[in-house]
Amino acid sequence: MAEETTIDDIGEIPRIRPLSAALTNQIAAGEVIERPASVVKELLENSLDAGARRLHIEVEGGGAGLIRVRDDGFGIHPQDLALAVDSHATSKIRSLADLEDVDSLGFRGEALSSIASVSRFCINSRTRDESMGWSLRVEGGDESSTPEPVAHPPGTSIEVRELFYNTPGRRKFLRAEKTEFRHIETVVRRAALSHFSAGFELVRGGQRVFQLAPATEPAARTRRVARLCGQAFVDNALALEYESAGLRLSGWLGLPPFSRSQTDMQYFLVNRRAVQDRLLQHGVRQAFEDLLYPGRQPTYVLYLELDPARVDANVHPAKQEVRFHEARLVHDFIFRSLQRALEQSETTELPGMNVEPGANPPEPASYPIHHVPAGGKRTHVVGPAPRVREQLSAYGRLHGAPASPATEASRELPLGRAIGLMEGPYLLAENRSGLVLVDLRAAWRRDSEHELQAAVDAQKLCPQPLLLPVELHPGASIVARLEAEPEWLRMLALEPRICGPESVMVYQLPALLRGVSPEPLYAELFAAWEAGAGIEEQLLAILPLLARHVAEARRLPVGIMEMEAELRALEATDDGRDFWVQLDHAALRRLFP
Amino acid sequence: MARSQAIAGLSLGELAQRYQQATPRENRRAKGWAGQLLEGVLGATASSLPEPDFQSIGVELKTLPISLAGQPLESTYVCPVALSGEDGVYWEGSYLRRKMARVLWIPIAGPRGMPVANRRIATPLLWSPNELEEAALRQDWEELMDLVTLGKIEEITAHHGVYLQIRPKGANARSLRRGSGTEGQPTWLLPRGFYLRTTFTRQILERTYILP
Repeated sequence: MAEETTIDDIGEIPRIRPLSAALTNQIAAGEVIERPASVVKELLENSLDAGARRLHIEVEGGGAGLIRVRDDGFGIHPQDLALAVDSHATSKIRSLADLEDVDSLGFRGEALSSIASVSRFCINSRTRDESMGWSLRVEGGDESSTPEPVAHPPGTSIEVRELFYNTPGRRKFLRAEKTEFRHIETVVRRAALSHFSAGFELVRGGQRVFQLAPATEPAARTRRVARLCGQAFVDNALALEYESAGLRLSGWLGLPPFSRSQTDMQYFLVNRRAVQDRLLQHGVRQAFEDLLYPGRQPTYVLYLELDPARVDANVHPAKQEVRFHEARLVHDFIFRSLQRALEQSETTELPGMNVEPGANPPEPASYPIHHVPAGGKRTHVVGPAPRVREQLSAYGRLHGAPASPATEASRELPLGRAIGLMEGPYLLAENRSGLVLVDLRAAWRRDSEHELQAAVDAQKLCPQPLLLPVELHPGASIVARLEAEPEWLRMLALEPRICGPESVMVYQLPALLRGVSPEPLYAELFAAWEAGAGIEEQLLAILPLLARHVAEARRLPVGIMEMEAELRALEATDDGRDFWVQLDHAALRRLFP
Repeated sequence: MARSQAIAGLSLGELAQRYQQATPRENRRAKGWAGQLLEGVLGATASSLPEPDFQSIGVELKTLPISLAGQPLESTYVCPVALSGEDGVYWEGSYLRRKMARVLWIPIAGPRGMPVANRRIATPLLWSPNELEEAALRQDWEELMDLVTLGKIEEITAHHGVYLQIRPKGANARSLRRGSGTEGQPTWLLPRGFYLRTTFTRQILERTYILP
């Protein structure tokens, strides 16, 4: 046990002394600068607050070696250069009243001083009015020099070398270079998604990771989102815009099938500040309700804009959280807007259905957001308050504007665009030459038979346990035969176990037979067996039988989107077997002479 | 495992008969009866001790009531919440993790209200959490334990946690335990337990089995 310190042990009472400026800054840095990515975040925010149009970010050694951010913003006045790296000095607010109403990303005036206190720091800047730039070096918080003239284009560049070189404790927390860089990349992504009017270039170890031109046009913005979140996201997202009671929500919301297992495609920007706020996340998640499988995460890039006076950004040191004055109102607005968007997207299908991970999105024809089709009819819906303006990739297709790019693309699809499901398993579609009728059960039977055959050939027919074992009573003769020649069913991973003179227990089915109910399947199998052919002939007949059961157990597609997905999947495996017929225009004309 | 395979498909009544155990007539008095019966039949030893049920092989036995369609009917009780935080500060050492490391799930099928004896034992599953599941449980556990340790236990509702939830567990509102309050002061609290949400158990079932 450690000895306790008593008053008697202390020769002298420790005196209270003010901490040196460098040390206070280092302590503050502990809060603000958690890792290299935090440096990048602070520097980017400064650049964006300075009205930069082009930002160049260079990173070496995962940011622990070098971080350099160069911008073309309005620069720092030469006399302010030393002040810029002083703590609690800022140009962004002047009074407490300003703090209530912050519209810049930064405002605390501690970022640069914190960074400078834990790195070898160099700042170069030139305002538009100056003929030359000025440079100031700071090492570990100690200004080792006065500003010196330097050749520099208008704007500011900041160089941060050997981050945490003087705080070994912090350095120990640095993760692998790759991890740190990933965090940096996320920060840059967020900034790029929040400031479309600025161009970004990210360079890692001399190699360009990405370059984004300023995007002012809606189409260019969509391209940027596609560049940062993937084309698949944009193709499967609703572009939305809602406004009510001074709150404005816009952006892209991934449809339920485009969910992810991680929260890595969730960008929420409040007044162009990327936040990870629980209240907002909760609102979004709630809007999805049962549309997402448990464990699946929605994908979105959403922008909330509101009067800065109604939100407090001064809550979290890195400003990742915000506090709303009317938290419930904001939550409700987000929840209802998104819920409405999802409802209007008519995706009543269950999420994830028919969309295999890694498979191509079912919708190949992407549609530029805010696109106005040739007919001049806007595809937006302009509703009463709250004003609704939204458009989704499936929308234009549903309304079938004749000359739209979506229909243009459909001409190359052999099975065409889905129109609807008819009584029975027939799917009606339209392609270039006319109407198409697809027998879904026949198509599935064919697919399933191929799968089964391939699995049998490769001897890879895996069994899967039934949750509820099923007891069957096939009669004494069948049980006796099962006992005598058990191998023919074993080849198919069907292994009923004998549990009485006349009964067997079924514990498993091949995984490929998922969804098939065991009783009727076995009834047919045993009947075929009783008819009594040899094993070889049996096997020939048995796969079509299994395939038929699989096809019958499958759920028919619900909604146009699922039907489309089904058609695209069938096209991919089409081997010319007749599961569809074409009613071409000539044939249709002949019907009504 | 073989022994648990062998009883799959039986009803609880048949099993009890085979082992000459009395079957309860009323469900209300039968809480835990199924679990105890199975523990006895399969030779579990630890009962409700903070140890896995099969001590020698580190396997925890969990019965899981499911509907005839294969959907879990109830959340699954795992272990008590250590209110004063004496149970490992770290996930690695936590009691919950030890309990969940290896579980023999025995789903018991039957609609709500069906007499216990008529419910059927479904196919058992010897299960360990995969990386994702463990990470998810860990995240929930850490978040919940943060609240518990900081004395915010009264603020925890069953809505906290993605897969794990904390709910009151105890005979009635008078059985109290010592814990720490919002200011760090010791207070008397209702005992709580960690429960696995049905979303979690449903995922396990859906992934493993062909559902009816």
